[in-house]
Amino acid sequence: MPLIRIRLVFRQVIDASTARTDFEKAVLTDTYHEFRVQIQTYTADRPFTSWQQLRTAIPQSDPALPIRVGFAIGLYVSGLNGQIPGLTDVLGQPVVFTDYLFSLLDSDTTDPTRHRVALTYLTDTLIWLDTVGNTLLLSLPTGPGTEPATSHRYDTFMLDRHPSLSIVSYEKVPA
Amino acid sequence: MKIDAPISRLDFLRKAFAGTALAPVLLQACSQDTTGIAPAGTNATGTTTGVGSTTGTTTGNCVVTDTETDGPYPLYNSRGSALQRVDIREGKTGLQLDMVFTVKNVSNSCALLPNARVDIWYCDKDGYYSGYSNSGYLGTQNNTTRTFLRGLQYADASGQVTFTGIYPGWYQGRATHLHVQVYVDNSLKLTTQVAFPEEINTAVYTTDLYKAHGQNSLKNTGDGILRDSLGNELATVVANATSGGIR
Repeated sequence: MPLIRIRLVFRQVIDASTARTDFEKAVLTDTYHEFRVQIQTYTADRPFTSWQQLRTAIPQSDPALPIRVGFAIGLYVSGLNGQIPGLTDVLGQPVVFTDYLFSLLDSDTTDPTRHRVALTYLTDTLIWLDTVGNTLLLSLPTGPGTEPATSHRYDTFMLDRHPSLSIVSYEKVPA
Repeated sequence: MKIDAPISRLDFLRKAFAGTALAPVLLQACSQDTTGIAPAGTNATGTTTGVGSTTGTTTGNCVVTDTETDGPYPLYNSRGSALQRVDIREGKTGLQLDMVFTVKNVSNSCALLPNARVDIWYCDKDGYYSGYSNSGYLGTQNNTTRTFLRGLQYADASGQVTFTGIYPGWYQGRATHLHVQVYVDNSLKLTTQVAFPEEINTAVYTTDLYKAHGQNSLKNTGDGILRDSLGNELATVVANATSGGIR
């Protein structure tokens, strides 16, 4: 039976109406501050105030500006210690991410309530063993190529499907 | 970071290459001036660059470093930034480069400007930036989750910021350079670039860690961004006897 390796992403959208945790508030506050700082690179002689206006008028600002803004929260993300905020397995245990991507969804220097960002967390490669009802049965590989060759026993965890959870990489490996 | 015994570039090169690999040697390079920034080597070399408002009247004996494009790969930070640090190497190998930038206000008799935010970013020894997926002579490297050779500091009471990095490499189409932006009270005052003396570039690119990529055929005088501004954008680079590198 072939092994199926997948990588999951979990998307966390943060804006003024949804920010609850200290992490979410810090991300929102600092990325808005940095957006106002960084947009100046493009607005010396132009009246842009919104991200939508800017990226329409100057396409090369995307992704240059979001990347600049995103690095403003590097320490906060490091402080998550690799645990995806807002996502746990069925037992309440944290799910680990290995990479993340910052996205600037909307913003306006004149209206902080329009500032809306997303963090997309990417898991390590997981082994997808089965789907039980609405729940994925998964296993963390212990290392590259170390799936048990003579045994079919895995240490597993279970993860409910979630509207913000998706599979972004799929690989079927012959047994 | 002060240069105690500045030596001439030629002397430096002679010493640096007298039968020794520069491996841990640092060329301590740098100081430059780009808008609002005076090179680290200012004291030693007498070069004075200052900068301040790009729109104000210049007073005193300093000039605003020329404005340059911020290039394709800038990144910036705020309070939670992982880039607010002195050592920006993140494990990147290369000839150690200690940098000092001095920010002065051209609108106020070149007074030192404390608390100005200085962002710098540049490519590694092989010509790759962090923060992006970019292509070079080693193919495409996805560095989107990395932040090497990017830093942010706020000027101290002496108007200075310091960084420890490596001597930059190069990529096709540009002379060797690094990027600088200066903000005062969150207001962007200067976006510029810093060039390096050609004899230092040539010397560094023959050392073990850099020689695989070889020499950069595009010199400062042929670079469309730098060539008209070398008078105020050329770094002062001297040997750093303490570190064995450059500053």
